[in-house]
Amino acid sequence: MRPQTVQMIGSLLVALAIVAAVIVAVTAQLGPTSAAELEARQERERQRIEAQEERRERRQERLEELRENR
Amino acid sequence: MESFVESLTRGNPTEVKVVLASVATALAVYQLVLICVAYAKLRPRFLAGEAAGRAHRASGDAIVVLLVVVAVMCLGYFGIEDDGALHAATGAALLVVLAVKVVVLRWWHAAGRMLPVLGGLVFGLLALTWASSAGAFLAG
Repeated sequence: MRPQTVQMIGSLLVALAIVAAVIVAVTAQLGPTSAAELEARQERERQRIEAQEERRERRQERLEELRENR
Repeated sequence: MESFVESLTRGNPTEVKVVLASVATALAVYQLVLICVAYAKLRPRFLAGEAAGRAHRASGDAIVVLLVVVAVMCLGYFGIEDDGALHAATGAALLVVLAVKVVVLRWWHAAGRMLPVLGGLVFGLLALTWASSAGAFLAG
């Protein structure tokens, strides 16, 4: 392979490295505001609320069972 | 168009636009270095002018594609807003100067002397366009 071709490929690899570095840096800066992150956070919140409601319902059922047994 | 951009970016059109514009701007800085080597303003031992010139052209083609995608996203999804007048003006000027530069490179070789000026203009306008939108967004 000619030295010129090697140098050109090297220059393009540097360009690719710059692209990768910028994508990583900007994505890291934007991360918490991305829609995917927000959706995941909302989903976790929804699951937490559902689990709380289930626990409350089970507690209520147990209380009613105890009252009936008395 | 809006729904196409929305689905293509999975609901993150602004973030995708910021990333693409930032990549184009970073590559533009690298373009300056490459063209300085090509014009022998910089003479590193590991890179000849001809190779730098070819890499400059290949990288420039990638930047053109990126900028066209960002411009289409910008106009198709966000449109022209009143508070983004500077961004709209610099963005439009950037595309016009870029088109002139491509014409000079491919067909109008007699105007080749204008290339350094056109290149400098493209870089300046790109930096302004990025700073007035993506840069401001990143800065919060």
